[in-house]
Amino acid sequence: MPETLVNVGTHLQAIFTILLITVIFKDNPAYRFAEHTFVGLFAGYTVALSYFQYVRPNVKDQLIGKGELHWIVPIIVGLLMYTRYIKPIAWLSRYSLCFTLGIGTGYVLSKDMKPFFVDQVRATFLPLWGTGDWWTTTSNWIYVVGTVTALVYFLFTLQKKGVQGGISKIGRITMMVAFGAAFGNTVMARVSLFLGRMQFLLGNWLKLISIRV
Amino acid sequence: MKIAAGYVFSFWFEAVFLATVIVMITRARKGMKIPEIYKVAGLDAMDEAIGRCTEMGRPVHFAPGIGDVQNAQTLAAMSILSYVAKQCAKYDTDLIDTNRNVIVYNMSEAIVKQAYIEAGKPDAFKPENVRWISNDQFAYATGVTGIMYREKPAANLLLGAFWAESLIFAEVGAAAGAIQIAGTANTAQIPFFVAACDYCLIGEELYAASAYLSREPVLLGSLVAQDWGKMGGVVLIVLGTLLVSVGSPFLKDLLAK
Repeated sequence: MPETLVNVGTHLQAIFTILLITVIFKDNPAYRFAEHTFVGLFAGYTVALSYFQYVRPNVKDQLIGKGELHWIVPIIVGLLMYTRYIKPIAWLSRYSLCFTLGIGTGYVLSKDMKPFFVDQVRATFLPLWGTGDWWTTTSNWIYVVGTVTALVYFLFTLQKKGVQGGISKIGRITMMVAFGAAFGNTVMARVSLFLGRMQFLLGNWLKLISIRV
Repeated sequence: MKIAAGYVFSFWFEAVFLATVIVMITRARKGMKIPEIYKVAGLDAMDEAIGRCTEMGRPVHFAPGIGDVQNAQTLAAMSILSYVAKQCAKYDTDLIDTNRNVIVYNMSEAIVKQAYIEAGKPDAFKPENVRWISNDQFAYATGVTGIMYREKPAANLLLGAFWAESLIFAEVGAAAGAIQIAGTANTAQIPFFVAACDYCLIGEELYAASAYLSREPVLLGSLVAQDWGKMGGVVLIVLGTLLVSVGSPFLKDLLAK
């Protein structure tokens, strides 16, 4: 790519970064300009992406090019979605939605049970004594008790009173501790994102600092 | 036909679970007795938030997350959206629904429209208030930020599958002075909602809320079956842990089959 174009790109990136950051002073024309440009650009990009990722390979290459007629079915289902703009037959668009929903539900049911339930239950089978290491034993107790009490917290057919209320409370406290750790971890990641942007503005754009890779 | 190695236990557990779901849904549909679902904390706040918008003459903002229709959280969000739209129609309060996914946008529009019809106010439905912003996560977040600042909703309902945009939405909602109710099952995002929102539905409470609010037999029945599935999980964990502690890998091996 010619250097001039790279420079123009860098200037645009920097200017739009600053325009978007101005939202800290509430809504203003600069932010509005950046917002609408961003959203508009992606709307156009999505149209182009849809054509190159779905329409061209499926309609032009598979259906017309190779004559694979079974592609007509998903194309018709997709086109039905647009009937919502024609009032007398708008109800037909619901068939596309039902089709997508049915496929989605079936897909989730078939793939989620093992990794998200059975494997996780199995991973909780930890020895509560006899590990030979007090730290491992303590960690195992926290792991097992935390998992069981958090599960009890999410039982909606049992009233949270008495013993069950107490167990739920322990589960809630366990989750809050975990959320606190996750919060701190993500805040650190966000700070590094911010630093990355500052490095770009002060280094790549203004050349005020040198960036060592 | 043979079940693939490593999936035998999962297959039979899921088969029993699905049978329980079907039994519970059938019982709920026939009006037969099923265990009661207890109210999730934060649901009363939903009506309170809509009431606040009505009093202030400001709209309600609803975001169903950025998941697609294959995401159970999005489906739960749709049930809650239906309830919220009905309440908004009842009290003549504007509802702004912003979407990232095109299919979810179509579903949202159909659900909100249906809710207005069911509330007996089809003419009050404003199609321009159900909006598709952008397919890109951060372009969507930027658009929602602008809407929050310009249209100043008095309630910000963030219910569904959220990722890195969660804190942006919650922050901007707080800056706009909205009462905020959020809920997601994406564990990495729950801390942000807990910290920045007035009420937070944690994980599965989102699904329970959708069943509780809609009173839909399918949702109620499946929630009861899910509860029993979780109880099964608790029993397995306790038994498995005790067996492993006394040196028996029986249950661990059984689950790996």
